[in-house]
Amino acid sequence: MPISLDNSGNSPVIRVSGITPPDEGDELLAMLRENPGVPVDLSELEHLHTALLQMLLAAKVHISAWPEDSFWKLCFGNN
Amino acid sequence: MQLSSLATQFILEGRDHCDMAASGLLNLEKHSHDPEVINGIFRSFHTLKGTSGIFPEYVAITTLTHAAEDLMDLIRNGKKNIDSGMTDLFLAVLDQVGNWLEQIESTGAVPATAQTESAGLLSTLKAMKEEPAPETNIQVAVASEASEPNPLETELRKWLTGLDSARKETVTSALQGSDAPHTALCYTPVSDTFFFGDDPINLIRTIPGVLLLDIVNTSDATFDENYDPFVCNLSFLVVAAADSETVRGIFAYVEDQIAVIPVSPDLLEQTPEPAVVAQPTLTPPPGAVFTPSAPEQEQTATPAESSGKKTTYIRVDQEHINSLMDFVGEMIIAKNSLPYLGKRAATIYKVPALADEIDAQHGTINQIVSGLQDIAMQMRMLPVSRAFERFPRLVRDISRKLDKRVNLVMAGEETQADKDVIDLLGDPLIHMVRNSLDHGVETPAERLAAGKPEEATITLRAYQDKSDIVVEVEDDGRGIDPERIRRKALEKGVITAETAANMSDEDAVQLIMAAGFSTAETVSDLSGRGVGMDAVMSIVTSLGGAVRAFSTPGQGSRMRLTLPMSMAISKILIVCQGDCTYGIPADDVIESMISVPLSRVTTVNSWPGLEVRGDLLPLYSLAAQLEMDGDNSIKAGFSAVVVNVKGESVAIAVDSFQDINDVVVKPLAGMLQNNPYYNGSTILGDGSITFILNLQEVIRNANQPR
Repeated sequence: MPISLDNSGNSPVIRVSGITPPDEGDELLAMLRENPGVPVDLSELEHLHTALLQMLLAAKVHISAWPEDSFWKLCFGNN
Repeated sequence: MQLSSLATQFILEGRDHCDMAASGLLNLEKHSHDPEVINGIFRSFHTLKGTSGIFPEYVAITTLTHAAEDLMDLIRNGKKNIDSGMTDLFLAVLDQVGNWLEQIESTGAVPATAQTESAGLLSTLKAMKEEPAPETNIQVAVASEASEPNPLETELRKWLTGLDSARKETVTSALQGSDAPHTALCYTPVSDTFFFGDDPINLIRTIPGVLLLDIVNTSDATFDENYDPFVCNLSFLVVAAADSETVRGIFAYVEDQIAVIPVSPDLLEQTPEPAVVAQPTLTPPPGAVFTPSAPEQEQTATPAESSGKKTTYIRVDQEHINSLMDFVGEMIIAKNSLPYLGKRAATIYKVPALADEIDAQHGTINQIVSGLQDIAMQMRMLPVSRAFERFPRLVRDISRKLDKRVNLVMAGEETQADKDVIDLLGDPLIHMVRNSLDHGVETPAERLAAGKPEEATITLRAYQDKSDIVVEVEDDGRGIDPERIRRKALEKGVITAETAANMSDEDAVQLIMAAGFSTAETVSDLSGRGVGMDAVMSIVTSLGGAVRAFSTPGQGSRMRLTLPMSMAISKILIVCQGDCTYGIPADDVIESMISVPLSRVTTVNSWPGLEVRGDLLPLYSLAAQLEMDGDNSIKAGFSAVVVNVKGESVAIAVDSFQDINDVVVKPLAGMLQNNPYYNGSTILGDGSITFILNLQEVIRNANQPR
């Protein structure tokens, strides 16, 4: 699953990993709405479709872990 | 074969794009070089290529549509002119893609031979692409707007000059440290870009040496309950250590959505220009450049702005709609049982107060179920354009094959009917249009000799008539010669010599729909097999519809097909005859009469008629028509239902009748499937099964006059 809610740690985190197709948009939207303020872990991310990138930007989520490819940091303004 | 939801979506959208591109190509033949149409076709190929690219196993589709897209791109840019040969080629590509989509749906994969199958098309596309360009090209491309100021470029310049000193320093250092060219880009994808299979960030990611990247929100959309994840509201502003040509090359297929300028130290130092009118503004307003750490911005949209209601559509699996309809049907049956229950409460259990409460509840539930039924039926309604959309291509291909010139006119495409009806319209319409093309429309030489224009016109027309949908196929061809029809029908034993002699011209024309009738001099692969119109008649009458032919020899013919708009839920009047009940479609009922004295029955030429308000209507005994056991004569004090049967008022004598009910009509199965007297069956509120009468067939029974 490219998108999952991880409750195993001290506090919950939304993991977005692998290659996320656009049709994951609804699932991510629901997860962000149901879990406001929960940080997003992108450490396992390979590619984020623009629809999902736009959603994470619009929701102003806190990115708790970045992927290896620094391009994604650039997208989120942390260059 | 269970496909992933993404693959299912790809098939659905792929078909839409094949249809749109084919329709655009045919449109282009009529209105050559319309830039909008060319761009539309290009985008369809582009999207097919892009979305198929998500699935590595569909590489054959990607390769073929990519080649078609390349050729279309040359046409779009005025470097090639599209001709009928190219149109044929593009249509063949779309046919091939359509076939593959079918195979993916049924087997989950494109065939292993796909690459071989499309090799011919690919090499032809390549050859056409490489042919030298003609000297006189018609410019149709977006480049025609090159002389106008590009608002994206203006915004890009403003962004560059407005950069803070640290970011300017990043760019200046890069410029000073290298001789390599640097480029700035502004890319604002169209808002529905995701539906074209585009992933803008993937293009940005392809740019080499990205130094700066800002992603700007171009709209007021905020992350609230109205947030639509599939509308793209982004603009990308980039500075990269790459030359302009490289950057342009990456964005070649969205060139109308970008501005590219070479970056020099001077450019960064220019005074920012005052904002020009450009919608939407791309200059990041405070907080519009997304940063995760930015504090929450106040909602600035006024209530009026934020309450703008958009109609949104979702694709729903047809099975869900069918299930919903089934449940609505079950609910109607359950609801219809309440009046029976009320009656039992009063008469058997002797609790009239409970009966009253049940009746009151029935009224409430009735209202709710009616609302639900309306919505469920509305969800199944489709425009008739769904059935018409194949005809431009079909008429084009067949008329070319027959060396005939035909202009197809379509009207009333917005007329709606239930999805099942629209689906069932397809085959009868194909038969009718093929018949017109094959038998009705003359060759250009014949038309000229007859003083007609070379190009014939076939009109497909749809309109609503009460609860029916009427579809007509009309041509201005040679018409139907009733004398020739009589002769042929006689030769083929369809009618006797006596019937032929007594038959009116109008009735003779209807013989084209008789089983085993064909007037084709030579049997072609298109029609003339003597089963076409017979099949049409059979399909349509089994659905409770009718077909009628009209013709003026030498001037043309018109076929009129009438079908109920919805076959799922109907209002019926329940009539009783002997121990049985039957349903009559309520729309056909004009009036009902009880305790009719025999004095109102007049016999003319041994056929009974009922006098109704000064008119003598043909009177049929339902029992006699259905050949029921026992004495079927009409007795004093009978009940009568006056009905409209395809334009004619007739009276049906029955024992009695009950209420009008909403019922779910189910098709007949098993031995009753081919019984012409019934259109279907339904379950009544008391649990009994009732047949819905096909009145046209019931009164056609040979025991009674026609």
